[in-house]
Amino acid sequence: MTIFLQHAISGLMVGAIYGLVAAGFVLIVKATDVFNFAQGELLILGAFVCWSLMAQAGLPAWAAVLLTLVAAYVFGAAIEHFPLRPMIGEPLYAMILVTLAVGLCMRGALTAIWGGMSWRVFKPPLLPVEPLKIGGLILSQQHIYGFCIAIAVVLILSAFFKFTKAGLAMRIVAEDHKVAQAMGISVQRVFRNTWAMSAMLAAIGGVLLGSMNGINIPLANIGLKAIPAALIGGAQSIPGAIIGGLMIGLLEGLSTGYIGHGIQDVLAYIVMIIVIIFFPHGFFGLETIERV
Amino acid sequence: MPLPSGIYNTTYKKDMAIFRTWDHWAWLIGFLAAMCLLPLFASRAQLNILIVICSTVIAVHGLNILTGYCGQVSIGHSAFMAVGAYTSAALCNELGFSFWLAMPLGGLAAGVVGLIFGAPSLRIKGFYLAITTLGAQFIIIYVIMHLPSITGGVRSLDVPPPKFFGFEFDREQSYYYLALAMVVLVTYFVKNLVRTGVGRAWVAVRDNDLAAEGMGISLFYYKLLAFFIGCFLAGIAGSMYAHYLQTISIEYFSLMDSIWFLGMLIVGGGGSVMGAIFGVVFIMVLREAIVKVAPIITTAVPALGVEFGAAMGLFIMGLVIMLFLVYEPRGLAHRWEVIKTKFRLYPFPY
Repeated sequence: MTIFLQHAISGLMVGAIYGLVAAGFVLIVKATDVFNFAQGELLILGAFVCWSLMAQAGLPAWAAVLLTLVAAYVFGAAIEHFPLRPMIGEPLYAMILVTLAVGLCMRGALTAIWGGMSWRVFKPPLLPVEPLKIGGLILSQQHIYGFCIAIAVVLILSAFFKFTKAGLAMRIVAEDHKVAQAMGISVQRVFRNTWAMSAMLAAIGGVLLGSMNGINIPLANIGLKAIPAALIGGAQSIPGAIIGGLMIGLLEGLSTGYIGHGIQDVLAYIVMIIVIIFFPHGFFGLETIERV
Repeated sequence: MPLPSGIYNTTYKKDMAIFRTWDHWAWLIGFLAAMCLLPLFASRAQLNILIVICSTVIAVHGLNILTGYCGQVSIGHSAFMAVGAYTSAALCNELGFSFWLAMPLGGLAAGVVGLIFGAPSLRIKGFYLAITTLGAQFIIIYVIMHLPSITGGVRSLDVPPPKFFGFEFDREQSYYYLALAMVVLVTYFVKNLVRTGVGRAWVAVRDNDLAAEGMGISLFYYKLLAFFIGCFLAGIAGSMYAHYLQTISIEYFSLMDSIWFLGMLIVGGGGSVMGAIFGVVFIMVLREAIVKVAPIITTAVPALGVEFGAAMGLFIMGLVIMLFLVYEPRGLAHRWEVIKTKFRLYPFPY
């Protein structure tokens, strides 16, 4: 039982971060109907920038994280402005491919700047490392902090959507562009803010994951794990993304614990395929009625 | 397509012909003859590239049917190629089949696996379906990795070269002719397939599947047919690739390759048979150019580091795909048509 709990809890803790990345993914889908395959690259970009600011520029942790968020905001807005704005209204596979191409470009640039395979580790660590012992369980403090930060960020995000004017504008753009424009909301600005916020979420996820395990380029494949999480929850629901992320994390914890390493990625996709066959819009997604 | 003045379609047969005038035929025959004579002049390394281009063209023809014509995006096409490659390799190694039987069976296996992953397309579509095929990429490679007794697992697997009455296609020169013949055959098949009722039904499904269903097109049948034929061709391509290299491993069938296939389709122009060929040739030549140029830059400026070459390759490829998407979304095939029409009608504007 203790072993089961151990695997389950450590899985859930990492799952919250997957959920955070998935929330960034969902944010873009909600407002702009684009499925962003470059989410993983945005994640490592945030992690690398933060690492460089701390290890190479010698900034204190809080300043580095703050500057990273600013950089992520600018970068996300730039992605929206340059390759994506001319693509509005293009067919689906062009949209999929443009974000894949953005991802390739970013991966190339990141490899050129920070090196391909070498691990970059935060020194001193951002989060305390000593494991906690509760009963028979050994919990990593980093995981607990990561979990709490991820959940807090998503709660803040939900509150932002519910209570602020900018959040309301995003919700209406997600609903209908023409109505939004008639109400005097700049759809362009909302698109830009959405991408920027999504990049910031990815950067937070990147810094959290990077502070736990170190950073290298293959860490970007986490983005591919966030996609099943987002689709299980439903591609238009932020709470759904977190629940999907927790499910993927739980699955990963238990499957690596009981079956062995390597199966977790495949299992996430198998579960996702089964879920979307029976719930084609995920658990909390928006069901749309199509007309010719 | 506008015809030059003085050429009229007087019979139905003439109207349906792909090559309408004698000079079209002359161009085609001249081009094929040039391709056949190429091994006399090309080096082994160049032939190697040509053979890889040939097998990739077959795979991209399959992807074109699935994505370009039927509109079902597949981000797992190289995994279907892997199914064909490993099936035909295993049939040759374990059961002693000849290549000529193992290759179609490999294609068939890939087609059947494609049907399994295409089945969700009846309930889900668009992005969700694309992600299902992305899942196929991971699941298929995982399964291949965990069947080490047949596939060699993570290690590479030896594959015998094709034999024809004692003649072995084990050198670049001989295999090139085999690959060329296959490409011509597959291109002929695909070009004609997309002109039939089936091809038109696929285009209808791509443009609006609800409208297509309303017009009496069975989505079930046509989507699955597209998956079957698309993956069948991928399997054939995988088998060709495996028997050429004579050794395969899962590294040849990565997610990155699937993305390249989509990129080739975009650069060439989806929904056009010529587009698939243009795209493959363009991307492969560009990739070779990068492989040649990158070491020169790295030796000239050592400060850039050893990983600069790979990084530059990724960056340029991504940039090319992005630029094509933004500035030439219909691909090279469209540009080719424009140039051809201008040339044909010269000196008249239309």
